[in-house]
Amino acid sequence: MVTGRRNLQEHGLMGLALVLPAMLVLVAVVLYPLARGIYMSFHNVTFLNLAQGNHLFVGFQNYLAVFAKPAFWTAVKNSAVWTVANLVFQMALGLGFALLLNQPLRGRGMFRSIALIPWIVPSVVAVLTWRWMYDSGNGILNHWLMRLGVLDAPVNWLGSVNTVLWSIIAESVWKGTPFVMVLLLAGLQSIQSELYEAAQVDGARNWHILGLIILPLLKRHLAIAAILTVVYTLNNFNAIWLMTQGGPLHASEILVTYAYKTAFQDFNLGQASAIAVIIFIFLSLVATLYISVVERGE
Amino acid sequence: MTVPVRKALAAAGKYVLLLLMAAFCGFPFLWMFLTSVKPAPELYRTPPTFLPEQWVAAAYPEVWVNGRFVLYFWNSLLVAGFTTLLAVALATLAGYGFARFRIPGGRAMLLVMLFTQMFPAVLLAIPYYVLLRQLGLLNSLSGLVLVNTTFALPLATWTLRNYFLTMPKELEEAALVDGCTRLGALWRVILPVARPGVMAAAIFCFINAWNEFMFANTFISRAALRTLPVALHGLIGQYSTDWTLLMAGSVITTLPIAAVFLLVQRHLVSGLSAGSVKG
Repeated sequence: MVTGRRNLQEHGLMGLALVLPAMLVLVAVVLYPLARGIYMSFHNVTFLNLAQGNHLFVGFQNYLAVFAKPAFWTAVKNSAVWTVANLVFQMALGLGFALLLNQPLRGRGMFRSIALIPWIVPSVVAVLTWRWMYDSGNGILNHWLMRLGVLDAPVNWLGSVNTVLWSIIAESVWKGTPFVMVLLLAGLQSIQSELYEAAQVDGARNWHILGLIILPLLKRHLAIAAILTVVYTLNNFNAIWLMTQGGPLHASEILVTYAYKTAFQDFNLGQASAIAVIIFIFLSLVATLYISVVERGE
Repeated sequence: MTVPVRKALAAAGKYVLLLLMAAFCGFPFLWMFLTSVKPAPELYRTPPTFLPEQWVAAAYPEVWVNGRFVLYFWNSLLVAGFTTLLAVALATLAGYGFARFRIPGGRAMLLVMLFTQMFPAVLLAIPYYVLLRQLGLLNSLSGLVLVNTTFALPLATWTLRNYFLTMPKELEEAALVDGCTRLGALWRVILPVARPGVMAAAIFCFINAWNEFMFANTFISRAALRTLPVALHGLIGQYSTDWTLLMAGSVITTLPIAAVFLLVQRHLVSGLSAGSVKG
């Protein structure tokens, strides 16, 4: 090959030329709007004064106004419940499904395909189908629970403040679990089967094999699945919006739906941006964690 | 208990669990389909029928023609198709650049891309609204293509970069020795071999754009420009909803995605950890 330095320079320039178009588009559609969003969170921007272009700098007033609203704190609390519940159930079920589908059983391929269905179904379709199953008058869920004697009267799953959030959590666990399963199954398949066999010959119990051999080897896969689940759940606008739009009485409101509502129903773009920036800061922390896990693997 | 009996019991237990899992994962999908082929009276009867007594497919032509789903299907196809084209074209160049060259700041750029995929869409929806309005791109499908690129481009770049990394360098070195330019080598030698990776990236982008709801619901108000997810949402009535129609529309929306999924299941699963395609 040609002498080192010149070759390296050429390489650098050629590489830069290749990635430049993509990076320019990224700046235009992500970084610039992001900067605009942060700018708006410090200015008084509403739909009414949007066209004027010259907006008053208000410092942290948008943030303080948001903090003063009880609905914001309801959304914070709900976001925490929503995220933790989704994380726990999706990870537990996903690990269970993956362990089950990793067994040498006949018909495994078919069961694996069935388990992928929730992931394949478009999220809007999934939410609306569950909404139909939850229907208080004609939904299949009420009908079955009454027939089994669990319920005496139909429950308005999405209309009552006590049941609404958990009902949507059930849908979102259903939708998200296969992804966790796929990630963990890939991890399980990379563990050599001799390991299990050796452990079994040594007389180790199934629980011991799981806890002492499988889970430690699966650590990276578990971390990636958990982080992506948190990110996706926090950002999951569709499940809430298409079921209840955050209602009744903010009982299923999470931060992303609250930010959306503040922007496009209350028309206060400044305050909505402030909420969005708060979500962004939190997600940045999670994303940093993710990047460090990915970096370690490369 | 003897060992064979215990083994048989354990296997039976596993099948029971598998069946429970299949019921949980498969039932809503089955219910969507069954609802779409029932006549309305069977839905609103107590108790409702499980399997239709009368199989009726009338909801499909109804939603397709009168419900104008033929138009919305076409809009979705346009938006998802052009988003995919734009993202994959840019991502092929960038993915190749990241995989094969030492770019100053390259690592940082890749991480920014990874980071971008984790953005809350609502954070961008607000400035997008302002910008699209200024550019006169509200109520236009090209505006939607542009904003959908946000998530498609990083996803495709990472997928393709990872794919190019698995390919031996000798491939294009041979071509370069034969007098090909870099771009010539990429076009004539690398791309034909990298087709599975390009396909996987394209399908990720297509699925994401096909399923996108928030942007389409916010930036499009003209009924004729709706995409399928927005049109489905529109079928929910304030007082009553025709669930047969809505579920028929849902089946129509799901079919293209299910088809591409079946086609490339293997690639999708292997390229997964490259990006968050969780939705």
